[in-house]
Amino acid sequence: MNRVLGIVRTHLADRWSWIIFPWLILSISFVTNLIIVKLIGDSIYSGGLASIYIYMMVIGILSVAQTFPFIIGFSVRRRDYFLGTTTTITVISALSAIVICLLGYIERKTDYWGVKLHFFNIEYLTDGPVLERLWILFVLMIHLFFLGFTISCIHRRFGRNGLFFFFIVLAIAFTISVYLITSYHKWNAIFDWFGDISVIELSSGLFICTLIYVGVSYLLLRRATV
Amino acid sequence: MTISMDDSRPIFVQIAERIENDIIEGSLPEESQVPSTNQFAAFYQINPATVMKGVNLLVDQEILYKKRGIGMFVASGVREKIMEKRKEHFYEQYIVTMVREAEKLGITVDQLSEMIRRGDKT
Amino acid sequence: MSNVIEINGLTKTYGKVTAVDNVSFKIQEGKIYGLLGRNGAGKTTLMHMITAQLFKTSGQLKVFGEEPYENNRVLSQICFIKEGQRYPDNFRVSDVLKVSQLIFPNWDQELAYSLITQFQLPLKRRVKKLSRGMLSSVGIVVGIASRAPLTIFDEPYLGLDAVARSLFYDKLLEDYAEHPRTIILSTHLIDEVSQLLEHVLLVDKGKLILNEEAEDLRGRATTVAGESSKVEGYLAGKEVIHREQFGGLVSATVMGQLTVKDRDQASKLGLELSPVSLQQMVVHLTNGKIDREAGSTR
Repeated sequence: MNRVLGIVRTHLADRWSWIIFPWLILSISFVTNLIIVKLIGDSIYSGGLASIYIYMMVIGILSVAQTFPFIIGFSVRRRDYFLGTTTTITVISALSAIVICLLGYIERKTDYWGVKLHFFNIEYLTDGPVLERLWILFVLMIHLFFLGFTISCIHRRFGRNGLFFFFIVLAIAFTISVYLITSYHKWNAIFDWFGDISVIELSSGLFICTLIYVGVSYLLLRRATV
Repeated sequence: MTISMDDSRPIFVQIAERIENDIIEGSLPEESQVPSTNQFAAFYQINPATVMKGVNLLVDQEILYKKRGIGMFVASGVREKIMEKRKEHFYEQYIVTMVREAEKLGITVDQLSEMIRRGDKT
Repeated sequence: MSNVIEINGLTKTYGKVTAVDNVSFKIQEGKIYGLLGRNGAGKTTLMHMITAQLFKTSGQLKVFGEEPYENNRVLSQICFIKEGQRYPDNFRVSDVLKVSQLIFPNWDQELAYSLITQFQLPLKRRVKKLSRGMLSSVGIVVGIASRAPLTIFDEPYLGLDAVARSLFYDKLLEDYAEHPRTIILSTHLIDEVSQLLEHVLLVDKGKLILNEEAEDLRGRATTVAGESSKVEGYLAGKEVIHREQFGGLVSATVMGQLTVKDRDQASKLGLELSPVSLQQMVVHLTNGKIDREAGSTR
């Protein structure tokens, strides 16, 4: 147990990357939006909240190279490294979801900061009840983190060439899908399907994806060397 | 401080010799306590197991003896004993080598003894 | 005494390159071992396998009686200070200590801070910004304060000055005396550490070529010098590990204790005999000119 905490401590020792930067980026994004909204004098539905989420994917990519060699070098099990990392991102995602939810509440109470800036309230995503809102905000973050983490694990396990091969396969798969959808005239059906999806369905789908990433990245790390 | 040991001879033998020297020179009087293994190890920066081996060599020769729970002590009457042992070595170690070297340099036995008498005065 | 490490026929290959070649040895509890050999001899690969950071190609490997891979009963008892240990970019020296406290079960924080002071390490500085010597000192502090039952130092004193090296030997011996454990010092520079070692493992080109008590090795090799015709005759039937020609003179180093008869013979032939230091013996054994396997002299 202590060893898992050691991993959490290792990640969070980098306060700048994990805590300060994401919120700093979000603040800058928020302030920029405020200025723009003042200048144009019209209401804005901002997408600025995405910045913190994209940032978390980058952290997912970076954290493997930053901490894995160090932790394995200190003779810790790969499994403990994995548990510690999962604990860290779970806690961070949960806390972030709560804070964003609270800010969204303030946003609504202050009549969108008095200038009609919709920053922490995203249409569709945060329209539902509180628990649903918390859940989607949480899942989005942990999903993006593990997406980045898994890509980085491919690199760790199979090196640069492995990562290259992975993206080639991905590109081919994507091309074939697009070709098939076009030739069977299924684009409308797909857009309809996406349009009908509920927030709960979306978040559950992303959560299942996350679980798959978790499984895959664990299998990759088990055979990774430093 | 590091007093380096000769790395081409077993160190435990050198430890035993140093303890014997201390006994002859009187810095380790008979019935006095010998420093502990760890003290030796720390002082010379050597492995404690090596020190132990050197000390045990002297225990086997009954130069040191162990007091349970206290440590190692110099046995009574061993100073004489060590000196006797050293005298035997002295001939082998110094005289034979010296005479051989003297022959090589063409120094006669008379000249050699003259030199020894001279050396005694300084 | 029980064995901390048991290795049997351990091999690691990378494609066509064999980094560790059919190596077998045992490491006993409570001793200080020297894992010696030139750079690239396979020492680091061996240690990486022992600590489950690399996967073996074949052979048997038991640490504390079990396979080390993903095994906390084994891994929690090991502290391996790698020469190329990497730290996260923003890690400070103080972070290393805080994390170590959580990772190593026997960690002594008080000792760690006292060592940090003695090695004059700046607690608040980023590990990335430390000099090579300071980085080595951080490793030494972690290695000693971890009090791990199996502590492995890989090239521990790179970049350290004489004062810091001496401090390392002092602190290591002091703590080892109070808390005996198994220590492996891996280095290509045997010179200074040789006195600390109880047992020597010498690796060359992936093979284990020497596995003996350090004390048994001191004085084991002798250099014979004299006229080449006489020396050559004298060498017959002896294990020659080094030979140097200088005009009509030959100086050869032989392994194995010389008997009284050997010495008499040398004296009659007018050959000069001189003992060889452990350091010099290792240099001769690993100069790439001889093939040898551990145990061939016994």
